[in-house]
Amino acid sequence: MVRTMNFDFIEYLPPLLVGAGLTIVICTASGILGSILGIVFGTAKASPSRIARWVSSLYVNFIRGVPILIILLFTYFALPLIVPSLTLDRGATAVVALSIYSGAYMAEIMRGGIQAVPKGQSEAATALGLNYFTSLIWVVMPQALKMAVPPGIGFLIALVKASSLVSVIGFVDLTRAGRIVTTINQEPLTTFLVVALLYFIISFPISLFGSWAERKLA
Amino acid sequence: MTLYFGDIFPYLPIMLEALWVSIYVTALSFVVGSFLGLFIYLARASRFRALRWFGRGYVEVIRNTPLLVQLYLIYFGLGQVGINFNPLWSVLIGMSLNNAAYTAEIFRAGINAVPNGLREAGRALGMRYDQTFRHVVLMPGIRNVLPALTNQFIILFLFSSIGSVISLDELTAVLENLNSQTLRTFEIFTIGALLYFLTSAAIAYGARAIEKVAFKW
Amino acid sequence: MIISVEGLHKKYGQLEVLKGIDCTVTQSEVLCIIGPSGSGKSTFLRCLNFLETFNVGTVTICGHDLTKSKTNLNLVRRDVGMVFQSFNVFPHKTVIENIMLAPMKVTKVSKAEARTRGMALLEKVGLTDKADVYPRTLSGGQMQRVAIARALAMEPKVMLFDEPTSALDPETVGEVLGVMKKLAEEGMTMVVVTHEMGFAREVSDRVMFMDGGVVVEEGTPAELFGAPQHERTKAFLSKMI
Repeated sequence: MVRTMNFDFIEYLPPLLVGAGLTIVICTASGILGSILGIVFGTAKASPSRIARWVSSLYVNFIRGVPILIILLFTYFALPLIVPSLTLDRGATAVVALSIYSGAYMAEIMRGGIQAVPKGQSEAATALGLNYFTSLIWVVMPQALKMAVPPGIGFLIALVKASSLVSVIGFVDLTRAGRIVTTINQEPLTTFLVVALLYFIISFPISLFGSWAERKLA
Repeated sequence: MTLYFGDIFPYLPIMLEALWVSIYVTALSFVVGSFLGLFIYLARASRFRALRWFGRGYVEVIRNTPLLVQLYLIYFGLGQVGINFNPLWSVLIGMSLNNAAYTAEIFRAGINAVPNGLREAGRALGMRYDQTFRHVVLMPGIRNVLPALTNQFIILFLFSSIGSVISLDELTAVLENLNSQTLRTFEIFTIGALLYFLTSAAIAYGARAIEKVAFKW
Repeated sequence: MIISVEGLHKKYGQLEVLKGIDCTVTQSEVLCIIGPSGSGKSTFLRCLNFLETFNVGTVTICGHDLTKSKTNLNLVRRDVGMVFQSFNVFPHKTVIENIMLAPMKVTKVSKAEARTRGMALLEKVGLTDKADVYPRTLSGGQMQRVAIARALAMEPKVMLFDEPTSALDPETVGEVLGVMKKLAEEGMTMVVVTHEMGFAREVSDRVMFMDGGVVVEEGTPAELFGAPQHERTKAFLSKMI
């Protein structure tokens, strides 16, 4: 049966906007936490210490080979079973899972940035008498971060899209809000078009900002 | 709690069967999507402004909205105008359309990265535009593109888990079912994660081996 | 007359890089173009086989009038060989395949014939032992010699060289210049944009000094290097030597 399309914006846009707001909140939180994880593990992956490289490779390579949905389900269902005190609500689960997920990708971006800094830079720093950490923090890192910014912003777009999966564990983000609205208004096409548009409004400015940063920092 | 994987092993064949569904859904939509992506790329590189705008618009819309929402639009949304696809078809269509945007960008980057001097050398030897493309630009372009395509294939494979949301019986859906049947939550999801990880590692490894054999130059 | 250029103007937007060039090259002549970077000499060379379009003026090369829209550029380019600063050898083809490609695809020479001719050309540039290797294993000088052989395979009537030794390590410059000198002695018509003053002085019949998009001065090597007339020429030459 073909139904007419008349999406009632006054009725249904507010819940979608609340969902969009929560999507932005969890993405911001996990984007920040993920970046911190990424800097730590990315630096470790590019470090001279074998143990540090091994541990970070294990984390980065494993997470990048597993779907975000599995990470979410694992965090939600399995983690409380092994660490009983760690019973997280849906929002916290979403942020933890998305942070672990972003951390791995951010680490890979960070490692690329560090390795793209010419070797002569750290050699020059060593020749000046700086030790590994001083040269890392004051000479290598600033240049590496600059190179990591454009792909890092690119990953934020992937994060926004991946965050739609937190709807599966029942967190009422933009996607989940869309599902709920459709059960009420029976207008899945129009509702999800509005949902898609809202994602686009969140994501497209980030991608424009990314290309701007790429030109600016190139 | 105690961990006990012994209970899970009888279910391994079911999991592997489901993994196979994940792989073939991915492979099929990757092939179809890459083919579409080639046309999107050609549209973006076209002389005609309208085609270029279409290509650019397609890529931006797909890349700035979640695959899950695209899938909902196809599976639930199209029902509103009387078009109904079953979960398998919905996933195949959604992933193909999604993959097309990403591969189009990969093709564009790969071909643009071929040094312009090679093109000029071909032209200077008297080869036509199409001959230059076929004999001079294409192979270095393909070589540029392959690592990114492998990456995209793995990403698509991982995101095929989204099929579970509209109850396509691929690996993630089967893991969730087994979880509620056996209540061996930790073991089930650990093995599931390992299956995903090992498959993507194998894909990456295989692709690199193929590249080594195919590109002696 | 192999090449004849009249009143050639070329603009990139507002920037005029060629401001009216006149130039002729006769059979078997070797013309070297020298000048500071940004003088328009490479742009001028690239106009000769229409890799670069131009706004005003006429270029006639090997009997083809480039200003006529009917002129088939692919036919022109068969007669005009070109060697680039950055070699531009095809990385995915072996040395001999690089040389065989254009004869097989453009003039439909058989594979066997193309190979025989290619091997003869490799002998000429001294690289027969490298016929079946991929370019990535070659030095810059070797790659440039392959590029020369590749251009010669089309049996061109003119060869254009765009700073052929500028990207080379100093120790391999000589081998490339040696091949070019041999070509000149065999009577090939050549236009060479170069910074190698020694080569220009020794091999060329005529030297053209360009600066700021115009031909400042031209003459025999003895005239131009021995007794330059213009201040700009003098200043440039004093910096080069």
